[in-house]
Amino acid sequence: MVSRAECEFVVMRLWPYLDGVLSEEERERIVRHLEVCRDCHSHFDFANAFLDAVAAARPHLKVNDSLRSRVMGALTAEGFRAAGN
Amino acid sequence: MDQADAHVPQASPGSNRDREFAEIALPLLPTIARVAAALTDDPSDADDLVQETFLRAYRHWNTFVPGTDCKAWLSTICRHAFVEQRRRNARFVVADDQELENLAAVRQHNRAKASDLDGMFGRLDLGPAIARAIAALEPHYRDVATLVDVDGFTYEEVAAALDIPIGTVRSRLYRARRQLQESLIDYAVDAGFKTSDASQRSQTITLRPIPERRHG
Repeated sequence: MVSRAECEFVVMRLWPYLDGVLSEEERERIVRHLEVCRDCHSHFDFANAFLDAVAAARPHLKVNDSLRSRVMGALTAEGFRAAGN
Repeated sequence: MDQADAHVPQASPGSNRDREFAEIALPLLPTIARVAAALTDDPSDADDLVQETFLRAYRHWNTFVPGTDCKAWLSTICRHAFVEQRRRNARFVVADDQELENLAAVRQHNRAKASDLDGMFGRLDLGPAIARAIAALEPHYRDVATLVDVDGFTYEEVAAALDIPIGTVRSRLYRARRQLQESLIDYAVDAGFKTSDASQRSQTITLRPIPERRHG
């Protein structure tokens, strides 16, 4: 049986846990809780999948081509030559 | 002016130096564009800053230590360039209750479950929707969220790159994540998606460990 207070302690550290910024002591306490608490586990699972999806959206966040060509133009004027040119 | 400024690169086409720069530094242009956008309020200022960063990086490429974190190196150059170009006061600080923002993540999950969207992030291709939702965030939130969640910066790296306190990084990041979840759940509900797996709801399943995503 898991206590409601422990669930609250755990979910209030959801993002810091996933981001790996908790103390070792807090981290272990959360790991132990997640092994036995289905509800909290599902919240962490959902948040983790969310972060995976955001990271995977990287190719959709494009720098505009004009900035890229502008930087390449400035570098070329500085002496930079891309391989194969 | 330091020594490197006086150095005029004698690069031959496709030299090792240029090849290294092209392989290591240039792929980080989107990341540095986001750092620059986070530092400046104006898109054209941000573009200037990106160009200045890559020019300095190219001129000083001999000081980059191979095998070290080029993203952090470029971010530092970018911030130095920004500080030199313009001396601005620190931005406003949002003092959110970070623990409450964590509870908001639970509310968002419960809302998704109630709409049969428990598996939405694993099963739907939300890439374009995520990009739109990120673009719609208020800039201070968007900047921190993209640097941490897309570009893999640590809290400390963002705090250093943007010259803001770590507490501000956290509060903006958690707030941004909440807003992203809200808009993505709205989107999935409006689109009529259903992703719950009914077979998993009531049976006993082993709770697999949820790893930390990185070490801070």
